[in-house]
Amino acid sequence: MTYGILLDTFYWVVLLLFLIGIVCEFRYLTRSKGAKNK
Amino acid sequence: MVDQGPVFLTHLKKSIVWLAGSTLFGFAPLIFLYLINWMSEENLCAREIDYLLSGGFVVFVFVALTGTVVFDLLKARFRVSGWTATFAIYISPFCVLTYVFLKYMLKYVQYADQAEFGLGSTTARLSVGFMILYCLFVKTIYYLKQNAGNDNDIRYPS
Repeated sequence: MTYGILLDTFYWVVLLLFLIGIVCEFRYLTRSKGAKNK
Repeated sequence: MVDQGPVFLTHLKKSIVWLAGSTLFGFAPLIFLYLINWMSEENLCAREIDYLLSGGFVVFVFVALTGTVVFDLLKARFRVSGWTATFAIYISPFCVLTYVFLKYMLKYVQYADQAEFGLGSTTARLSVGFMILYCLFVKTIYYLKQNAGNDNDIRYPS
């Protein structure tokens, strides 16, 4: 099951980077004037 | 600074409705089979339903939904804030797709459990979980950027 564990680890790393990226993007969006309520 | 809370929530609600509607549409054939199965006395479709569920139907539907979100964003050519956001929005779905491919490969070389893509399997849960999160949040980002009125960059000069 070594390959399975390796793949699951890969998945968790991708998920972690995804969450960090999404948080960064939301911070960028909410701090910029672009997505504003006119 | 403008309060973004209501805007974010509005778009998140839109994303939830979009995901619910698309999922329902994607699962319509399976729901139809369940309906036939329920109406028939001899459980006519029980084998087909089991076959679809163990074959990864749920994963396929969510892969298709994720694909629509990815290509919406690619087509709109939105600029994102940095490499982490680029990874999250443009690269991570392909990584999870690779994860699904490799798990499938392990299944067919008899290395992994044959029920690897069944409804309760780890692979199905992990990949579907990621894809639901991806569709919800990235679709919300898409709506937010679209709402900004500029398809390329939402950062206006101050």
